[in-house]
Amino acid sequence: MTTSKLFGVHIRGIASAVPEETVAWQRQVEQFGDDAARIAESTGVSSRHMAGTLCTSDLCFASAERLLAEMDWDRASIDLLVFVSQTPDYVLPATSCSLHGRLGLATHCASFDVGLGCSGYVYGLWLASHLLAGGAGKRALVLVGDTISRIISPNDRSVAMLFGDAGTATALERGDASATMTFQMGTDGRGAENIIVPGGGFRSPRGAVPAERTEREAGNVRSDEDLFMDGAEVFAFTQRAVPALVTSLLESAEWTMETLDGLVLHQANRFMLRHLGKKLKVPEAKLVVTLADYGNTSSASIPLAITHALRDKLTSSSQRLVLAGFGVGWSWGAAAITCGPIVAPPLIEVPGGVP
Amino acid sequence: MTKVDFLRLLETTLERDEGSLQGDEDLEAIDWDSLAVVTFLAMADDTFGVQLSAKAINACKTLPQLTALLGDHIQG
Repeated sequence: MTTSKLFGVHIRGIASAVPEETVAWQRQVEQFGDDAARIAESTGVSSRHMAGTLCTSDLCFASAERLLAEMDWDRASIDLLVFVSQTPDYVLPATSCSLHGRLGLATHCASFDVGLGCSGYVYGLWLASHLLAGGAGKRALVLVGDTISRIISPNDRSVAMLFGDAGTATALERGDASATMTFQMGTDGRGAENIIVPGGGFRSPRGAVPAERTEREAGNVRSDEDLFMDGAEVFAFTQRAVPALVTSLLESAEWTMETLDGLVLHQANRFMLRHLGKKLKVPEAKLVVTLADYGNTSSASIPLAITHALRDKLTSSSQRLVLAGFGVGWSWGAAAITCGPIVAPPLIEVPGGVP
Repeated sequence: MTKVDFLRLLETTLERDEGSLQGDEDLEAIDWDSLAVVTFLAMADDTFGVQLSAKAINACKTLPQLTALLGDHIQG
């Protein structure tokens, strides 16, 4: 695994936005019968926020606008914009460029996209922090989110009740050397086939494969342009990889479960989080679980969980947090960060349609 | 763990009535699905410290095949 430690880059603010529209688990009883309650109980997802026609960029834009206003940052002072998502606006240009325009940032600001999901937030922090620490700039915005509900077949029970949508903004700044961040990142591309949208890219372009939804394994119905996820493979991967990742990160950071204040894992599903928490022997009060109202929000799940569960603590004090993202790829990243007090507005709700 | 104790554990894990598993069933007959696979993966890890692969479980058609994945952890 790639391990790195850096000093002097601070998280100054985190904001999260979700679409206003919600859907409760009971909506799926018609499709899945008694299985709907079993799935909701296992995943811990009671309701989710659904994007409809909103794009990830709209949610990230709302988060960034609110954060910039509350931090009172001059937009011309931002040197770097990183957009992390698997649901960009266009094939091209990069969504980071269109967001740069919408946010009115200065032309000296470097902007680029990163196409990662469950591990994406930690990758975004890692990239931007190293760039700032290396002198590439002083201030960065890391905009992270997904609208996975828009690539889900409603008749595929392996994914239909799990995913919600969200977009977030995190503000980073190079400052005094007091802040420390320790990262561990990794990849195992042999797992690429287990969470995949096979059609619609350049390997299998739209129109080259039938777009209609057909019955697949276990009676699930989807097309090649819908998300496929092998939940058992995902679970086996996480129980193999994540405890080792967190344990190794704690050693590198010279922290222990006793000395950290909170463990924020990618909010994959409640059954998995509880299992990982038990394996890691993390005290229940330190394990952040916020799936009930949002579902699995892919790359946004860690900052959204922070906004939901740690906002009060982070706006008033410094917290020692371990963040760990893992999944699609297989890709993973974990960070041990000392963070706070920061600017953290309450959760933003974005009405439907393009704002 | 004895085979009988394992069957009782499996019944609890899969939220089935006590005594409802004989040990020789086809998985299809006991409503085995993707949630059951994940629950079994977690149980094997929690109870025996065995991390099974999803492929190995998905290849099983019967309860004896599933039990065999746990090797010497199940006696008798």
